[in-house]
Amino acid sequence: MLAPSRQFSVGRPIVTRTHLFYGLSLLLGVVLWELVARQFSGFILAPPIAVLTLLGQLTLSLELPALLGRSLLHMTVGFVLATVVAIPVGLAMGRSRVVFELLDPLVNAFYAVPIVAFVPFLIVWFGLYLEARIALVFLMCVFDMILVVSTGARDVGANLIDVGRAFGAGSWQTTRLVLVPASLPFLFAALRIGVIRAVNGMITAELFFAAVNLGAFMKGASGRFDSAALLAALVALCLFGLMLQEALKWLEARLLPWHIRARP
Amino acid sequence: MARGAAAALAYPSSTVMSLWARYGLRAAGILAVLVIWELVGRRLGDALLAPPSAVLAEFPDLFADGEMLPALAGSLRQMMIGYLLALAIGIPLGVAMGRSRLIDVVVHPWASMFIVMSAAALVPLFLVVFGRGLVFRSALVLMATVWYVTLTVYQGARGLPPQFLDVARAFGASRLKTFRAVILPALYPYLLIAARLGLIHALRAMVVAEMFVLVGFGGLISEAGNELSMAPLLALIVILMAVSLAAGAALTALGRWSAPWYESRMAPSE
Repeated sequence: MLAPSRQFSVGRPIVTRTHLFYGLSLLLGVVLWELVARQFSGFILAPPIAVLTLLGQLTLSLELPALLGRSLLHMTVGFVLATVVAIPVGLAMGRSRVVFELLDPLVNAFYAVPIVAFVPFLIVWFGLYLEARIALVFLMCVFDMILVVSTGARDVGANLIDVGRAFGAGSWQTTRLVLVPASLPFLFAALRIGVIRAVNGMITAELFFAAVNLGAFMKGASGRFDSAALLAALVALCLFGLMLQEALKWLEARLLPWHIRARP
Repeated sequence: MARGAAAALAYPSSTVMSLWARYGLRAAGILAVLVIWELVGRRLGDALLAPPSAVLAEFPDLFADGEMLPALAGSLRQMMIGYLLALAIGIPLGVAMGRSRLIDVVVHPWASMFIVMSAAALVPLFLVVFGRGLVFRSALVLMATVWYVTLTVYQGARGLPPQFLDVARAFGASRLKTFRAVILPALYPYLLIAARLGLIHALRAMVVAEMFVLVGFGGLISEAGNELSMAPLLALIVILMAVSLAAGAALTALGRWSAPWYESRMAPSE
């Protein structure tokens, strides 16, 4: 985001040379993985072919989609709750110095500790099941999202607001015509970061509370020393997170065509 | 994150406040939470939410029983293995990605995949591959930290002014010399941000790993949770908070002391 982008997405073909290189890089990595896996027993580090075959089987048998589907409920509820809290709090912190100074030490203190440390606490309050999972996803998302929103809201250029004022905009007009459009890009950034945290929170909750869904699948595989199943689950989780992120990027490009993001 | 650190504060000028007002507000925020926590805690009782007074009463015991401090010191010492390795790998890798298009396209897809992976999800696999010992914990800390370091440094290296490199080239500096004498000093603010961000992720991964295999400080947290003893549990979390914040503040102070000219770019928020 910092550097001026070298390419702009206007008129970009769907498959660029960069994508081609990315594909090659993935292939290279898989070959490397195969070479490393050959040095170990298949129990410790499964070769990519075994993992991809298993991933295909699990997907076609609908076992994996079913596991992920059952996790969607707590992930979504936690993420939505975090969004509902983080956006107003972050905006208030970004626009008001007083609110910022009041809350900043607290947000930083929570950001600094691993949320997993609160697991025993959450068990006492919410038990081992759905409520506890929702609470963990919420906590894992909310502080990261507040930080992004408040930083973004603070960076809304004072000169943009001055231009509005120079044209005689009242405070309502300033909010509607300047602040909201200028805020959308970082609100989307917060959603993108939040959704990844939500996927992480989802699987963390399934492993740390009563093991269910994909968490139970992974714990079982770990007990059997089945590294192929573990790697397949990791790849699926990773793809799932990236897919959600790409969906948000797509939505952002549709809704905010004026905002050309520097491509990574 | 890096963006926030580099940007100037854009509050309306009427809200510029004195140092007194700033620290007063910060203290008021913390105090308000402590008061609410105390009142709610007293109503709900120690079993549900131990109030700060009860948590405070735990501290002498925690320090006196000779278990907590060695566990904390041991955990942090072991965390340093993964954390320092992450810096040693992430910084050169980030610079290389930022300066070479080829390395960027090779590493980037993997970096963006690994960075979204949660430390907890890696635990079952790493238990199988590395066992339950120090190697397991160090590998988890390394994996959870290195990509944040790499991508932070990458952002900085990509925005490096080309003039800096032209000067190095004009003086005939070797690649190593350019890296050491030009690129690293120019990236200083990013290195500090990477070190602080990395530390937070290293600490998170450390606790995740230890809570899983029940050793060290994370093990103590799990134990306190299993005994359903709220006050010691919250005391341990407060200690962890203090350690993390103090380490972050120490890194910032180190940066200010060693490179005061970057002050404005390292100012609050990350």
